[in-house]
Amino acid sequence: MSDDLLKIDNLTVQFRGDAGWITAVDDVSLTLREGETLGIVGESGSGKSVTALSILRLHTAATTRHPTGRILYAGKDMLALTARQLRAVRGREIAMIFQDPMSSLNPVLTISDQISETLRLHQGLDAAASRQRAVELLELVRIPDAKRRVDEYPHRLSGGMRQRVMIAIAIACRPRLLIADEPTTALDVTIQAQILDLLRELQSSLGMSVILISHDMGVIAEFARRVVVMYAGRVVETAPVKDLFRQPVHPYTEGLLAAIPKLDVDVTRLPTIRGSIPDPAQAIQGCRYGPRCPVVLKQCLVEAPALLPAGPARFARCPPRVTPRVAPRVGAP
Amino acid sequence: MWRGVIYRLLQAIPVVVIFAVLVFMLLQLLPGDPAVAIAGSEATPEAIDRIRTQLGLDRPLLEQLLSWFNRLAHGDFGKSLILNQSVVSAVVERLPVTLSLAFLSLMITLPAGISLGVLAAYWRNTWLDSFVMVTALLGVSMPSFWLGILSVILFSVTLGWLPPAGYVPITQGLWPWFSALIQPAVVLALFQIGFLARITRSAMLDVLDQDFIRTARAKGVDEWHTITKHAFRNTLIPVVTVTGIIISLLIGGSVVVEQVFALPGIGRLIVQGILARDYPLVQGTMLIFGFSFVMINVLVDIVYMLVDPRVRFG
Amino acid sequence: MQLNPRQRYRLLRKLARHRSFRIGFFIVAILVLAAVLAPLIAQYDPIAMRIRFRFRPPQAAFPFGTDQFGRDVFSRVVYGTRLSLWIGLATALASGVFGAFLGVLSAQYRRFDALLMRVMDALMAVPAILLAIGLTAALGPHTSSVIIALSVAYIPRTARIVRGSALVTRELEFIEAARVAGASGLRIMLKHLLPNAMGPLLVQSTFVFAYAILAEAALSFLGVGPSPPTPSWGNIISEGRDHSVQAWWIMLFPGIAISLATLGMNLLGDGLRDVLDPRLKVET
Ligand SMILES: Nc1ncnc2c1ncn2[C@@H]1O[C@H](COP(=O)(O)OP(=O)(O)OP(=O)(O)O)[C@@H](O)[C@H]1O
Ligand code: SF4
Ligand SMILES: [Mg+2]
Repeated sequence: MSDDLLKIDNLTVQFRGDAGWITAVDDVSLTLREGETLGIVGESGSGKSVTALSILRLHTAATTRHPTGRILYAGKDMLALTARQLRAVRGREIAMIFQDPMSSLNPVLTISDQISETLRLHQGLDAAASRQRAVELLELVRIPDAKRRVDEYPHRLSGGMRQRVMIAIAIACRPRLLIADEPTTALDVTIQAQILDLLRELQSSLGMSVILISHDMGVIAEFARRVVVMYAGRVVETAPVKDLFRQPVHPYTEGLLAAIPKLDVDVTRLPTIRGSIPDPAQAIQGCRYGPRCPVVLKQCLVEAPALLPAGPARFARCPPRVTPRVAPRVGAP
Repeated sequence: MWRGVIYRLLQAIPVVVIFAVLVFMLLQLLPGDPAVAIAGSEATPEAIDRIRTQLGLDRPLLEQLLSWFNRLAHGDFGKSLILNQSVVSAVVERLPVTLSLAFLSLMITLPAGISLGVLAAYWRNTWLDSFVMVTALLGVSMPSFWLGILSVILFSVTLGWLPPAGYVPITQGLWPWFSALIQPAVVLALFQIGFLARITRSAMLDVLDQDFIRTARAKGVDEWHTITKHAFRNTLIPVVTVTGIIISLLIGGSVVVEQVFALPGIGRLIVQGILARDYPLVQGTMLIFGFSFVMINVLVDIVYMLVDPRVRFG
Repeated sequence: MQLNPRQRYRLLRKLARHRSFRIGFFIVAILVLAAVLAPLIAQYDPIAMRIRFRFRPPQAAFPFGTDQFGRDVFSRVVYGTRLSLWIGLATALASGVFGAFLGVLSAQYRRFDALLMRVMDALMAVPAILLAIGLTAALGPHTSSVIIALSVAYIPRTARIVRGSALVTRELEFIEAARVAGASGLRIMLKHLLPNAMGPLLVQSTFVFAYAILAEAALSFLGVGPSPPTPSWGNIISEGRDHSVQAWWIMLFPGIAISLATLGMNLLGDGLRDVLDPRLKVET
């Protein structure tokens, strides 16, 4: 489709491992339209960050193989851009916020230095103008006493404040696409809500498209229009958020939904799905979710399932669920 | 910040006191009667007695120690037996030589060691990295006095480019001073360059793996500025903490290098004192060395506070 | 590091695969062989003078040439290996044992810590080599003095490293548990603090071995090392120095030997550090 702002086709990313290449993201495809919010959800280690970092090609070159597949952003083939073209996109058209605000800011530069840098780079502002703009941006992300804070070093700010600074840096050049990689995971619950509100507000006032990554289905439900569910480096289901919540197709999605904390029970970590995500260095025969799937069938462990249509505008990687053919079960229900 | 500086200064006091006691005890280590050891076994009994009273060795140990401190408190670091001169004046006389050598050597060490380490880290696991690291390893493995002799054979004897030995004060011209010192300074620097390059590389590797480097790249900062603006200052923090060690290595190395190049510096003074069993001279010089080092380390810590805002305002 | 056999096997395998470690191991193994088999390898008495043969350049009969007294430089260098390795080993062991003891003690008994660390700071107030020169001068020109002096010079650094590691261990839960269960200080030190500091200690001691070889050579060169005619690498260089222009071989080969030995130990140390102590700390 031509109004797709971002289109990822068959992205595969590999890292250097102790013995050969390790596939962290395998054949991932997704699309994002102008102004839309896309959620990517999955447990830790499912390849969400690796996918997101690939868009701006932020992986460590020394240990990463050049990704295969295609990433089209506004008609540009991101994987084919020269370094200079790439830098022109980074921070100006596509901005990114990371998971850990404590380590994402440079400890020896002031907040002002770090916000101004983007402005001077992409908008050619001079020192005074960019500093002025930095203060405005801090006010925009609701940092109290912005005039004073702007000259401080990151270690003087709390985690929530630092994440606000990261947001200020990200929106400084009014990007068309904001990638927020678990922007609230490292924060307290109350702060989480504030940051999400802020993001939502900025999105509508600035008209950005957003990719929100989270392992929290609750956050995704509140924020996203479409959802991509990832497991072990692959997309296992993708659907409009309402449909997904109303009727999950993939058993993994079911598991994630069941793990959303209820309001009346205490909100520690999610009552997670049994078992854990497979080591990406280990080859798995058949469905990667097989070893943990409560409804696994014999046929699942033979052949790797394909991503199949599962209703209007949705896909799932679970043949038994999308092709209603009954087969003998091997696992406990 | 001022609190930190004052605290650091106070911390140095016990170190200085303990160091003075240790240097005092050096004399007690001498096998047998120290007076005999100093005067030499062929000395006449009168000569030995003279030494004994001159150094106060006939008095009880505690009294000796107290008078030792009393003298130090008055800035009296003793009197050399062979030079007929106070230790302080002997040291002051030779100070410009050692300072010149150390300064020049440090000016070579810092840029060379740091940039080599940064280069190796940035191009990690490439031939450049291997080359730099092998060179650095050789630097910390080859004895400086041996390199010095080889260097003299090459540059002074064979090529005739540089004087083989001796010192020319800077007052006689910058170039003569420089050409007399450049050879020993480079020889002396090699070990520190290797050491510093290894440290810088590992510090830089740590920094390059940090999240804020990724943030910089995500902002569209180019590689040059990512390294120079974002990575480098953070790399300097651990590097500053080893500056004290570097200076210590430098001064330690200069004792040997001054000997090779016949530079009349403090290192040579100490060796001269030792070979002539002039223990007051050795003790006094050691004390001056030690006190200076304690101060240098305080300074290094203060610089560290300046470089790292977390410590500065923490 | 309390290791079960499997972990030990894994560590050894990692070391065996580590390139620096392998090269270092090879170099050191050759030097150890040379030291042990010195009487077999060296064709001549390293001390006996034969003026007739003085200043012979390297040739089949004298692979490293002869010195001003007609002594075979090759034989002297081979015998010198014994002395250098012995001084390196003894210094590494002595400073390792005392450093570990003081470091652990300091971590366990905080009141002792303040005093001890100030003493260590004081010992580190002069460069190690200078401290060693002073001590050797006081103790006399013997091999044992050199070992004592170098050990004293390197104990503070080792003690610091062990103390640092032990302080981290002390905070771990199982130590807390052991303390609550009534384990004595001695028991905690020997059973928990010391074993957990073994990795950094081994790494540091390997580097001390390397420094000690260099430092011994420097002491001998300055004339405060083991007194001639003991064939020490530093001595050979120092004696060959006056003839370095005409008879360059006298000083060239022992210098290469020193560099090789130091390089070998440094490579071993790098390998051990990568495998045992991945925090990548270089200390001197
Ligand atoms: N630079 C890298 N080198 C090697 N392996 C990597 C690298 N980055 C990620 N991986 C591996 O790729 C897999 C996917 O990692 P990724 O960071 O994308 O997970 P995630 O879904 O973002 O999880 P989280 O919720 O923990 O952030 C993991 O197994 C991880 O160990
Ligand atoms: S394909 Fe089979 S194993 Fe995989 S999720 Fe579907 S039912 Fe479970
Ligand atoms: Mg992630």
